[in-house]
Amino acid sequence: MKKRKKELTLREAISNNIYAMRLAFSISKERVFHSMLVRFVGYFEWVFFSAFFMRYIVDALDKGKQPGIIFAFILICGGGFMLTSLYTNYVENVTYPLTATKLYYGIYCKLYAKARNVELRCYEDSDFYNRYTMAIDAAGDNVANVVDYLWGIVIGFIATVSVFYTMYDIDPFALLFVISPIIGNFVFGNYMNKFEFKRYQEGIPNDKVMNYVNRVMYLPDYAKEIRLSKVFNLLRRQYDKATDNNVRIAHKYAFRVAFMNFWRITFTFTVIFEGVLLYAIYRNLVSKTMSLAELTVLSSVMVSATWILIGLFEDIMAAIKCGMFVKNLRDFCEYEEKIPENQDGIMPSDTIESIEFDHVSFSYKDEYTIKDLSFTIHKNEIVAFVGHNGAGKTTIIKLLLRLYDPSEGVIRLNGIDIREYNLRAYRNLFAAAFQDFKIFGMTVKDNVLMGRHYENEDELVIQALKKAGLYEKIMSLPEGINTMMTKEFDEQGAVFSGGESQKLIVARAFAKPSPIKVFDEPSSALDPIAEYELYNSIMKDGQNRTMIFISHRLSSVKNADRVFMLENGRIIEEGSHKELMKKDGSYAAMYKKQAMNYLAVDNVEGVEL
Amino acid sequence: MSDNKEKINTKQSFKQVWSNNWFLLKMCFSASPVFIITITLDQIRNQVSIFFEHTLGIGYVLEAAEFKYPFHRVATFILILAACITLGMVFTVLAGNLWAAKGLPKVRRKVKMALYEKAKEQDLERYDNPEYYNELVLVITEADRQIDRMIAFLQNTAAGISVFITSVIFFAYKDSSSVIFAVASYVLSFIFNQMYVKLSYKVRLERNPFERKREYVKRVFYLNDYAKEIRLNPEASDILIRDFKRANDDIYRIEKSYAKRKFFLGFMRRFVTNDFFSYVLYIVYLVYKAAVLGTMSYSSVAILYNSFSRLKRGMSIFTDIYPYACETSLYVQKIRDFLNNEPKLTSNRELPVPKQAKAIELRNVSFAYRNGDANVINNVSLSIAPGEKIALVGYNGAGKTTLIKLIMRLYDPTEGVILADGEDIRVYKVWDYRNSIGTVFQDFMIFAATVKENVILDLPEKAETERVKRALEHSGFEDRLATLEHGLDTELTGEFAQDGVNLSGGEGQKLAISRVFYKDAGLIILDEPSSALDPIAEYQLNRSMLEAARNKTVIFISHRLSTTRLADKIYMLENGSIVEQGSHEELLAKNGKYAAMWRAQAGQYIAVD
Repeated sequence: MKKRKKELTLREAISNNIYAMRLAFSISKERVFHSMLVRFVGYFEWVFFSAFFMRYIVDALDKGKQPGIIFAFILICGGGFMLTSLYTNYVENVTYPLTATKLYYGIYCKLYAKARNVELRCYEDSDFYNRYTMAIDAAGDNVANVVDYLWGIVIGFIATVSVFYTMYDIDPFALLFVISPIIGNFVFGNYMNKFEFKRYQEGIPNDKVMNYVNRVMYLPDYAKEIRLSKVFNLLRRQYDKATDNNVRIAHKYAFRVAFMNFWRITFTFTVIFEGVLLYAIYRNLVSKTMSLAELTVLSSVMVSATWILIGLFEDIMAAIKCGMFVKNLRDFCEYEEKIPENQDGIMPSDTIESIEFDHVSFSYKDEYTIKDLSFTIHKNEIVAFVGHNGAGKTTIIKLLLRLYDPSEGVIRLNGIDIREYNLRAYRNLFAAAFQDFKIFGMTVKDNVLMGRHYENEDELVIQALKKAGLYEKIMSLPEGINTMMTKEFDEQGAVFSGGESQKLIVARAFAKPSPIKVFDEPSSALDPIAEYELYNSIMKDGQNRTMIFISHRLSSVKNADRVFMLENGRIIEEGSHKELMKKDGSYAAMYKKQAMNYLAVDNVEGVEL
Repeated sequence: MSDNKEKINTKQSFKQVWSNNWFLLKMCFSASPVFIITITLDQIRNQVSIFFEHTLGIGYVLEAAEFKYPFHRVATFILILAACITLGMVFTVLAGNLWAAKGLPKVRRKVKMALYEKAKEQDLERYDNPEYYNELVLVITEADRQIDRMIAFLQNTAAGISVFITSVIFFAYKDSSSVIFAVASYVLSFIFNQMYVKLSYKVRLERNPFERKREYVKRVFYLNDYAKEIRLNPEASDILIRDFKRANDDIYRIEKSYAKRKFFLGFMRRFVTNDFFSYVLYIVYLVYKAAVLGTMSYSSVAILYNSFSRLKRGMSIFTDIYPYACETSLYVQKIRDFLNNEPKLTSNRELPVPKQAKAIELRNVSFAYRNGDANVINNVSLSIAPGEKIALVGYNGAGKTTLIKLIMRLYDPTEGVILADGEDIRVYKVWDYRNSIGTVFQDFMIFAATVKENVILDLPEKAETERVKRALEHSGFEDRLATLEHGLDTELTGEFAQDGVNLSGGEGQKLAISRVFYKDAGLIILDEPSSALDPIAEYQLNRSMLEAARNKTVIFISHRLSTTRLADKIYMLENGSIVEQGSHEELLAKNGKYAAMWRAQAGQYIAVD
């Protein structure tokens, strides 16, 4: 069983590496070709100078050849060497940097295209996400490295064979010594690597802890808590424990690794080195069957053979390690999206007649956040979702936008299952402002339009900013709507407060002329006046459109055509505000509670709410 | 970017470089002396061993072959050599796999802990000043890499010096004129190497801004923060990809413009001043001596040729390591500056702080974040009696949170004075003062630790379990606690625990509030404590707060005027000054700005015909 697993891994590693090679080749043939040639030239030089060069010279000296001939030989070799050096330098300083850039571009374009096409859930599945981030992180360098390692193995192997041949040529028995470094590297070296890898793996959780503490100490997010409490004691202890654990792990593996390492070094170096010397000097002095020249060459060739074998072994190890990274890259590129962003389908019409949830359930991991939900929203209705935290409100929005698919049940737009629509066209029907948003390192204008183009864009942006109550602030900036946001690329870039950022996000939703608009807690960071004005804007903008919003601010919910109250993923009440107040159920209780807070009364009997 | 420019222009004196490197070395040594000593000794041992084996050993054998020494003498020599080397190997594997593996984590801990202890003492204003903050981030994130560099530096220096000494002695003994070749080659290659390095550096500098852009795009596509935005606004990702392409093209252009220069310098430093000397000039010299002058044995030719590169390497040690040491020194200088930095917020006199309800007074307090900036707080005076409940309200950006930070002594006012129980707060020990206040900020953080640890923000053994449970009850968290499998010992965040729990926004807020309840301090400060809570939870929280804080002084900020209404006194801020103050009823009667705000929010709750 173990053997089969090992074979599988080796076969997998080879196939993955070939995949990477083909990928590199498709993007930059030049790089692959020159990488091979450079390796070839390098090894050739090495073998030449260790095996032939010295041998010829010592031989010539020994045989008393004319110095002139020897000098000529040296100069010719020098000339040849100069040519190869010109080539290698050119590749290293010109070809490599340029092809590296091309490779980077090609690989990342592919990765980004995939990244934006996979469904949102992939980002939330920690297993998938970890592999994906590992693949993306050093993709550019790693693919280039794979190419180098693979050629290193192929050519290294050829070099090994030719060096062995030289030794065989001098003395067939000397070749037997070569078994020693083979055992040293491929047997003991392998064991040593395995132990080291296990040690590394055992240490990963501790490394994670230390990385976390490191981050906490320099990120400004934690700065206040660290100064206002004794949490540093906790962090210091976490770090200490992680360090002590790693020391303990090192100790645990120390003797095993040292043992293997010792034999690896002994077989790779000592045995072959001293062994060949002894053997050769015996042949020279005792059985008198080896000349000085041959002895000289044998000693230097044997050293080269050892180093070439080591190089080969290291390249193999590196290729296998890279194989793991490449596996992640490949899995990612070959992943079949469950909700592909570029899914084609029916083009939805511009008029929204109805949105229907039909016995929809949704579970995330094992927990059901939505259970058997059924409701319909009609054309140009203004609908509000309210309920406790965690009741499932935001999930409904995400399902509606088809960021997830339901676990059970169907969602329909105009009577058609939304899974049948062209995804991009479908999403284009919605303009949304979420609670957890991101501002990009682009201009204010781009952050509002998000890449879409319209006639009179600037005017559209300004109107949207006015509606969101952000216009004055933007005009106070030096470049107005062309000001760069965040300090990512511009030291003078604008950074907004929480409330201002929230207004920008709402402006995004205002700027998009979609038939359906969605707002999720759009005013949580705003002061009461700003909040009041914002809801006025939202209501005005929502005329002749279908509108959905989530809010804890129940006073704004009053103006909705219909209110849905959720609890534990189910709708427990629905109706207009007046109807629900008359019903005097959970909604009424919540509303009264909030109103009581404001109206400074202990009960609201007799007050019209 | 400016940081890099600084690097290239900063001239450090030799004394400075030496002193900084020595400083770091001393630190590493104190953490694990065994580690430092053994790796140094091992390098020396290794080079001496190589010298004996390759140079003297082979030399002796070749000599024996040329001059026909008796076999048993040679054999004995070889066997003794093998034995010594083997013993040396035992030392090496122990040094690497036992002492080094155990010592490195300890060294890292020593350096990082010193940095962390200092970081936590730094004034909060460091985080606002981008120059300071970049230094902080650099110092902490670079620490591991610089430690590795220091270790490598130590090893290279020890090895280099050993190589130098052994080679020079050998050549001086065998053929002193060889040294001239080595020196000539070395000097010339040094000159070109310096030029090459400078050029490479220039290239890196030019590339930097474009690489940052590439990195940004990479981050956007692989961090899950942006995933939703990209799916809802696919055109935005088109903009990013366009930016990515442009940045990549710019990098290509830069590399191309420097390619020819790099090629030339590379060729000069590799071939012309280096290999040409070794493979042509020097060997011609040796052959001349052996064949023409007849003053050198053939075995010597082989050995000297093989050892020539070692001699050159030994010479280059001093010039290679110096720039390396310079780079390390730049970083160490930052560490030392960092460690020497005294926080501005110090205490004149150290006093323990009383724990009962505090009286707080502000007299003519003004504050600006940076010198020359407009005042964020303008001449504010207010007085809070012990046990009073105070609310701060106002528009976004009015200065409410800043005022809180001043009271917490996270910053000192630029003018005026803040008194607690009649004493200038600058009199008290900073840590004790801050520690005696219970706070929750809007941007609170949950740490990767258990529920219990997150409540007490201290080592777990200091927790009083009952008190923790009660604190969680007061904040309304007990329902959620009941669903947690491990109760108080549940790990929060998925940072290192597979089954770590991620709390929702509202749940996190309740946990953060329970910190205040647990601490039971005389002064409680709350900044937007219920922004993420639904109305019922907010209502319950208000009740709990009033109960638990009955005998305490409370200051809070909230946009939900239903909460602030409960205060004994309300201060309304605008542009850093108090514009209105009084109880809720008094301010309504005044019919000013507060009243307008109140109507905007509360008025919505009453039905309008």
